[in-house]
Amino acid sequence: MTQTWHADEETLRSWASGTAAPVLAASVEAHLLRCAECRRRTSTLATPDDAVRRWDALSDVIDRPRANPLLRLGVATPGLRTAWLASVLLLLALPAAVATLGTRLPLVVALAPVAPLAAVALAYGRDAEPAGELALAAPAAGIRVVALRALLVASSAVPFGVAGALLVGLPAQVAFGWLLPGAALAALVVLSGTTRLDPATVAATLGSLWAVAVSWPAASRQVPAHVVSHLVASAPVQLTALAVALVALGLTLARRDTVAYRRTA
Amino acid sequence: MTTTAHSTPSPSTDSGTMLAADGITKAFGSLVAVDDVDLTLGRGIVGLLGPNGAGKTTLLRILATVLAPDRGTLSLLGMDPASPAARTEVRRRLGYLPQSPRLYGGFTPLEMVDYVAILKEHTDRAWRRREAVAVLEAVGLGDRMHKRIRTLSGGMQQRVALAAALIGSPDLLVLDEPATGLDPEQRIALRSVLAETAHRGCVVLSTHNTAEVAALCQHVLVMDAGRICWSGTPAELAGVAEGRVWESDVEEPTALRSWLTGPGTRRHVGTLPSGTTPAVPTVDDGYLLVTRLSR
Repeated sequence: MTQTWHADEETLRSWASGTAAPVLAASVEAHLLRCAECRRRTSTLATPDDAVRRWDALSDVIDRPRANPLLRLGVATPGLRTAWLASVLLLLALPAAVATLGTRLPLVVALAPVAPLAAVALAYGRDAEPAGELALAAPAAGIRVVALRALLVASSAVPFGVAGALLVGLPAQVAFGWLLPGAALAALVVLSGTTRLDPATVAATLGSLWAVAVSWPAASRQVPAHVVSHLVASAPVQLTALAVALVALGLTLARRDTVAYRRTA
Repeated sequence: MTTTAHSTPSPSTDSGTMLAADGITKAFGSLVAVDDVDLTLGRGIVGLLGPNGAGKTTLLRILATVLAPDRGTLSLLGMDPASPAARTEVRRRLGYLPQSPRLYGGFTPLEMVDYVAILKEHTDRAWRRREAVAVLEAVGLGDRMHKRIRTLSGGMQQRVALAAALIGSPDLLVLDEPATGLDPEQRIALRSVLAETAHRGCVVLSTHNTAEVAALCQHVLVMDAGRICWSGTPAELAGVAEGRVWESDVEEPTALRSWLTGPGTRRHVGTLPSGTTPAVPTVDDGYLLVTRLSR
């Protein structure tokens, strides 16, 4: 394409100094991309001050850390991203498994609570902290960061589980019934972090116990799966789970100093 | 200067106490890592010198509020870290470089320092960026701040962690072996970076290298078996060996320690045999003498 016109000097000057109106500036830029002659003339117009100002503006954009602080704290490291991905995949796989394999086992109720559990255990893990031990001496160190990480992972994964279960046509009591037991188990893992116990071990133990306890009656064909799901969704079980979650969180708050100021290496 | 194990080190404080420890003790099972340590530190750069396993890292982790002591009281910048509110306030004014920083390699140095600034509750994004660039330039990483940390050398990663410790101009800097992985030139640069903090606050650093202590610190604490066994200036530490160090080409029965310094030449510290000319003492000699006498 041949150029039939060139921008006048005043226009180029207003663009170079950054005072051109946005529409004019966009038009000049489009033109400059194609017109070597105007580029050459612009380079003679730009003062060193312009160059410095532009460079500063550019480096400001380039240097600006990309993610927002919340995401930095929450899902910065591969360990945390893996936790999130694993939680989402597990919660999506369960309804799919139920849809294809049938409902002989109460899969969702037995396994979905493991997702928040794992999220908490990984939030406590050493690999969750991008700055390593350095972070332990920061004012934000402690239960706040752990809770934030666990909440970010769990709260963004949990809706997938509920929506997936509803989509494959599971009853609402199954789709929602695992939430409070999941919260209770997760809260117990949070609490274990204030003791000398390893949260990962506690999470693995609690998760297995729950999964086995819930699926055993159905697996041994003594009780149909939907009866187990009903039982988990029943008011006594749900209220017990809520109570356990609240007590565990309360105890964690009371003992939060043990996370922020550790007694073991 | 006395060199008994129970002396109470009190470096000259020209401007009040920045850090005080009284009877700090920390045990891991049956191992007493830090044993009844008393400390009073003012402004300046203090070097913690001692053999591996002397308890330096444990003491520094306690001073950095990362680890709570089993016994004893601590005052950091005039506050007691046992109280949560005071501890948070101390941490706002504290910089800490752990022995093995273990930084996530997927961040760039700029992202890492920015992240640590977030942990230190700096909410102003423009401020964080400006400060992060400044501290990275101060540690000589101005041209590497956009590279992934995992692609940097060990010494550079060490300096990223140091930059993260320096962000926010802390009044108390606790550095565990900050000169590891630095070449002599970078060590000199480190000194000027630390001197700035030492001007308004207190820098405590550990090393097992006597040359580093002489180059970096105004004051030395020698630690052995969980205790502070000596305290003074680097020159005073060398002075401990005054008239107690000599060289010969044979083994000496009166020497507390002897080591080869060249082909056939041995250097000894201990009781000078009569008729022997003493050698000019170094910080090394003083350190070896002090740690031997403390046992």
